[in-house]
Amino acid sequence: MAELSSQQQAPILAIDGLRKAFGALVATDDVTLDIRAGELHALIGPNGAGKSTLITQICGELKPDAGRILFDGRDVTRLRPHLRSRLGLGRTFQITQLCPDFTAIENVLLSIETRGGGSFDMVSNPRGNAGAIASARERLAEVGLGDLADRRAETLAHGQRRQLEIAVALAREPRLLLLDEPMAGLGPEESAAMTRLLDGLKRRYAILLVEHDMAAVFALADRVSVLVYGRVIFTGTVAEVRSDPQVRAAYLGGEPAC
Amino acid sequence: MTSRLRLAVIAGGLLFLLAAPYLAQVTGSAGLLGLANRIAIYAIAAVSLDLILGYGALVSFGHAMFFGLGGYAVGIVAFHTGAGEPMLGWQGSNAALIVWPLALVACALLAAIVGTLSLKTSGVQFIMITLAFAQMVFFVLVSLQSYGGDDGLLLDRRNTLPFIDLSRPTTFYYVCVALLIGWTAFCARVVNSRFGLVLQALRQSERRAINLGVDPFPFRLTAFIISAIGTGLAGVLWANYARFVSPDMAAWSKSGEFIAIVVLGGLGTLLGPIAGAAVFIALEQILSIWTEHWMIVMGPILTLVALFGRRGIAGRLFGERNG
Ligand SMILES: Nc1ncnc2c1ncn2[C@@H]1O[C@H](COP(=O)(O)OP(=O)(O)OP(=O)(O)O)[C@@H](O)[C@H]1O
Ligand SMILES: [Mg+2]
Repeated sequence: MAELSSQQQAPILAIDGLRKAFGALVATDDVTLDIRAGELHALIGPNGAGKSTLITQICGELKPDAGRILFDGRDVTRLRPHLRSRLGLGRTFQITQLCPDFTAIENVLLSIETRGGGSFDMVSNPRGNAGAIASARERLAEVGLGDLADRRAETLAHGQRRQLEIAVALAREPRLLLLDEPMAGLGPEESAAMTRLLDGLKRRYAILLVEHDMAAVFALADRVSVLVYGRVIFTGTVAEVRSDPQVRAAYLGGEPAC
Repeated sequence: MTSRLRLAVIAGGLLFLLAAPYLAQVTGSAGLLGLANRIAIYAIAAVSLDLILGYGALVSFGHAMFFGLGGYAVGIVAFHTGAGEPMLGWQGSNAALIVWPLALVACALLAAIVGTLSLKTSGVQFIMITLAFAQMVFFVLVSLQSYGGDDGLLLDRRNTLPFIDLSRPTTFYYVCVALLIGWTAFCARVVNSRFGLVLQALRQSERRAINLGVDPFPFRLTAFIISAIGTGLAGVLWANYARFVSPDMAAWSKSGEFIAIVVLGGLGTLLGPIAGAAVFIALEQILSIWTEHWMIVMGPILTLVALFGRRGIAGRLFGERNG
C-alpha cells in the first residue's frame, strides 16, 4: 500500500539540476534526484564523489551555484538552514555532531525543544517536562540506548554516538531523514544492529541514506542512486543497480574503500 | 562525596559572606568589610560574564564597558542632582529605585548595539570587536571634561533606598550580598532553562544546533544583554561603594581582570567565578601591599591555572561543570 501511494504522491524532496563547484572541482554536477514519501533512497559512490556535499546543500549550509531544491513541493533553495530544518529535516553527520557535555537524554531533549527553533523561556527547566522526557526516553530506547540516558555524550562509544545521532534526528519527528554514512566506523555486529534499526525506520520516514556498506544498502534500499565525480550516473532499484554494467565498471567493480 | 563537598564549600562561602561584617568588627580590621564588599561586587560581574563566556563560549573582551557605563550613569545623575542642574529637563534623583534601573537600561541598550554588531562574528574577531567598543567607551569617558575627564567623578553620597540606609557600610554590604545571591540564582535558572539549553548547545556544537532549527543570533544576543545588565549592576554598586567613578572602570585591563576571575574560578560554573573573585581580589590586596607590581605575581598564577586547572577552582573542588 505504501508502495502504491508513494508512486502517486509528489516526492517529498526533489532536486533539480543542482550544481556546485569548488574552484575547478565540480562537486555537484547537474544532479537531479527525488525522494518519495516512505522511500529509502540510497546514495552510493566512491570517496570524494560529492555525497556529503549534496546533503549539505539539501540542508542549506552550502548554497548551490545553480539548480533548485524542492521540499514537499516548496522551493527551499534560498531558505536558511535553520528554517529549512524546521520544515522537517532530520539529519545525521558523517562526523558525529552532538553536544558532548550534554547527557544522551539532554541531546534528545534539545532536539524536541528546537523543533520550532527553541524557546526564550528562562524559567522552566526542560529536564522537568515529563512529556518531553518520556518521548525522549522512547527515542533512546528505540535506537537501543535506553540504559544510557544519563551518560554524557562525550563518554559514549563511537557506535553509541551514531545511535544517539539517529535518536536526535528522530526526535524532531522529521518528514525526511538524511543519514550520512551511519555505519562508518562500526564493527560488523554494530553494523548489523544499525541495519536492523534502519529497517525499522523504513516506510515510517522518507530516508536518504549515504552509505559505503553495500550489504546494508542492498538489504535496505528501495532505490539506489550512484554518484561519481558529482554526477548521478544511475538511479534504479537494487536489482537494476546490481546488474547495470556502467555502475559495475564505475563503482562496484573495485570494492569501495570505507 | 563530591556533592557533599560542594554543599560544604557553598555553605562555607555563604557563611563567610554573611559573617564578614561581624569578623571585621571582632578583629577590629575595618578593611576586611571593604574587601568583602569589593569581592561581592566583582563576583556579580564575574557571574554575569560567565553566563556568556562559560555557557556561550563568547569571549567578550569588553565587558568593562558595561561596568563603566553602569558606574557613570550613577555618577552623572548624582553630579546633576547634586549641582541642581537639570539634564534634558529632568531634575535628577538620588533614589536607587530610579537611578539603578535607568543605569541598567542604558547598559542593555549599549549591549543591544554592541551585540548586534559583534555577534555577527566569532572567535578572535569577536574578541577584537568587543575590545574595540570598550575602548571607544573608555575614550568617550576620558573626553567627558565636564564629568572630570581622566580624573573621574566624585559622588557626594550614595543613592538612597526606602527603609534601608545605604550610607551605613554594613547595610550597603548586605545589599550587595543579597543582590549577588539573587543574581546568581537568576543566572542559574537561566542556564538550566529551555533558553539555557539552546545557549549551551550553541557553545558545544553550533552546527548541530543550526541543523536542529536554531537561529544562533537572537539567543546569543539575549544572553549578551543579560550579561551586560549584570555587569552594569556591578558598576552601579561599585560607584556607590567607592563613591567615585573614573574611566579606568571601562579600561581594557578591567575587562581582562573579569576574564581572569572567571577562568580562575572555573568557566561555566557560576559559583566558581564567585570563588575566583574572592581569590583574585584577596590576592590583589595582599600582593599590592607587598609590591606595586602585583600583576607580575598574579600573571604567572593565572597562567598556571589556565594551563593546569582546566576548570579553575570549581573544577578542582567539584570535578565537573555544575550547570
Ligand atoms: N568546502 C569545500 N571546499 C573545497 N572543496 C570541498 C569542500 N567540501 C568538499 N570539497 C571537495 O568536494 C569533493 C566532494 O566531497 P564530499 O565530502 O561531498 O565527498 P563524499 O562523497 O561525501 O566522500 P566520502 O565518501 O569520503 O565522504 C571532494 O573532492 C572534496 O575534497
Ligand atoms: Mg561524505
